[in-house]
Amino acid sequence: MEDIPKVVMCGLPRCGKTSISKVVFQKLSPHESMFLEGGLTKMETFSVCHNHLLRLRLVDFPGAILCDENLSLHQNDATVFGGGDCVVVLVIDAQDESYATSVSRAKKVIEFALKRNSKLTFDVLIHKVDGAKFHSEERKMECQTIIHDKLTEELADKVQECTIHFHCTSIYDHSIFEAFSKIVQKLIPEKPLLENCLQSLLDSTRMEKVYLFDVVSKLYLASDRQPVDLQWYELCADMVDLVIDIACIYGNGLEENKDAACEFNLQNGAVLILKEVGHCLAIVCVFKSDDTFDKHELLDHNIEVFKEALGRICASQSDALRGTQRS
Amino acid sequence: MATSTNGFKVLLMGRAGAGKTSMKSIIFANYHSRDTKMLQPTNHVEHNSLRFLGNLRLNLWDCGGQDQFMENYFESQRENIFQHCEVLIYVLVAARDKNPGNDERKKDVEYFKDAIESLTKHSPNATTFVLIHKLDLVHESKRAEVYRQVKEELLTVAPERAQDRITFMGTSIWDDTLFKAWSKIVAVMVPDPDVLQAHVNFMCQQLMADEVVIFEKNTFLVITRAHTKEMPDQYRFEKLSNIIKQYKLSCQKAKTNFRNFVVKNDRFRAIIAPRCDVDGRDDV
Ligand SMILES: Nc1nc2c(ncn2[C@@H]2O[C@H](COP(=O)(O)OP(=O)(O)OP(=O)(O)O)[C@@H](O)[C@H]2O)c(=O)[nH]1
Ligand SMILES: Nc1nc2c(ncn2[C@@H]2O[C@H](COP(=O)(O)OP(=O)(O)O)[C@@H](O)[C@H]2O)c(=O)[nH]1
Ligand SMILES: [Mg+2]
Repeated sequence: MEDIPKVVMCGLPRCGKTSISKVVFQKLSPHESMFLEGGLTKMETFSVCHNHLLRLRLVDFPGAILCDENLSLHQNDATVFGGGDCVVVLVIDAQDESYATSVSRAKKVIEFALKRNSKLTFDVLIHKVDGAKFHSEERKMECQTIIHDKLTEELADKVQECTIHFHCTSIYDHSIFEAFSKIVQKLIPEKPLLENCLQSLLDSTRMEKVYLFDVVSKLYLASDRQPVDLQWYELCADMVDLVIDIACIYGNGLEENKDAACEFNLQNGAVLILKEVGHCLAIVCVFKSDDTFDKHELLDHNIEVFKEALGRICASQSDALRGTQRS
Repeated sequence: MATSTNGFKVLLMGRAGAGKTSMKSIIFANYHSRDTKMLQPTNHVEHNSLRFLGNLRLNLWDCGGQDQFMENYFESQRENIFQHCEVLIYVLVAARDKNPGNDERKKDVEYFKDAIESLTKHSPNATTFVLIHKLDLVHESKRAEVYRQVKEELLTVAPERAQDRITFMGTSIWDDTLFKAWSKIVAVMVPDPDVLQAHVNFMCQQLMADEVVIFEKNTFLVITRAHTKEMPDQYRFEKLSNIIKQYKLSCQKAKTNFRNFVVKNDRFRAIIAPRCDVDGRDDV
């Protein structure tokens, strides 16, 4: 069990940690998050084990502990940052007017955690950037800049030693999925390999964009090397949803979704194609063409090649990860 | 049913707060149920002209339900409102808050009586749908009982010759009943429904499809369907409609729309294509 990578979620009470993990990994609808019970005092952990690539343990770190000035963690709690691969996610409530407390807490966590495990990386989620206050992209960026500057200022000397990424997120749109995709990707050692495979798939079939999706969570585990366009990601993620929903009606649902495939022709000439490539894994490709799409055979062939490569990657990984289990 | 040249007139009536504008917005404007909380009361009559089934024009008259407006409809406006009308949709709340059987219900019944009498006079061939609405507020165990009571109460005041033109349905914006009810309502607006049904049956057989469903293009209400095999999921039409609508919304966000799509796995194949808007299912 110890070598399953970990994602530790930290942040003040009510900043949205539980909502995030339930929306991303347990299909909670964002509006239902309003009825979540707050006031966790104990650490809660659950395992995510959808396929060979996406295996992790998610730790919901109770906000109450952070409120304690000295951050005096129990010995057991302190071990949470140690051992194996681990990413720390620091959630900051962007709708909370003064960021001073959340930033200084975040700083404490970073210092504390780095002492236990110097290899840790951090992701700061500037969360709840939705509603009237954050209607424009500029507002979000502004908020991100403020928090970024404050935190780097506070960390001063430490900042060179650790990597921190910043994301603006909300559970009411795709931003949380996009950010979490990047977070889980850090825990997939084969990611560079997968990226190479996807890039050559893209080159050989002249795609616009290609993603490897975990169909359960709608996170993408790898993509080609072009910059990610949020708009394509949204359309592709929604397509994954649609395929599963329809499979639940006419097929046998998620578990027996073998050879799933889907093709969308959009009015702007784009073609989206989804193909199942492994248990709960699917490739979604975007083609931009003005004339009719005629690359089916080429694509099928190249996807077969990719599948083979994926099979080899997963096989070597599952040897390494024997003994893991579903919770 | 024949259609008049300048479109198909549908009256949406009922007392204030019954949920008329809410349902209209959900069905025709893609509102999510929760967004209806923001709707303002309707002032007098709100006219909407909608294109439906390609070239059919649907004139929806959303009649604001406050008492002063209602009285106006049955007096000075009576002819204007009720003539040339093809469908009346009368909406009333299944259970008015807490104190049942008080004046509230009486008013519902009284207005219904006025409406159905005016309709029989000015548009004798019109069809009436009564939607006993907000059933979600009634406890599940009591729904059938409440529904039956309201229905009986209303039937006693309806003129005899109008009675077999009235269809009662229980609805709520929080479940699939609304979609089912409106699918039934629009079915009466389809010109030559028998011909269409025959076509769909033929198509289903020719394609050797397990099922063919025709959806209306904008609302994704089910117009008609045919199947050659029993389907396990009885809520599939509402689900499908919702799924496709959702994706349409995603596409709109990206400023485009889809032309057609195919979804399949080793057990089935579903095809959604425009114009005829078909969903077929095959076993491979
Ligand atoms: N619980 C519940 N509430 C509903 C339902 N349908 C509508 N509502 C709510 O009822 C309220 C009034 O809805 P409207 O659609 O504005 O009512 P209306 O009939 O158009 O009212 P007027 O325009 O004044 O005649 C809104 O807050 C809706 O959210 C339902 O099925 N269940
Ligand atoms: N507007 C908005 N509210 C959110 C978002 N994420 C979570 N919330 C709300 O924040 C509150 C606290 O969330 P919760 O997950 O219990 O916080 P935790 O104590 O950090 O686990 C809930 O009422 C959520 O509905 C978001 O992205 N936007
Ligand atoms: Mg209204």
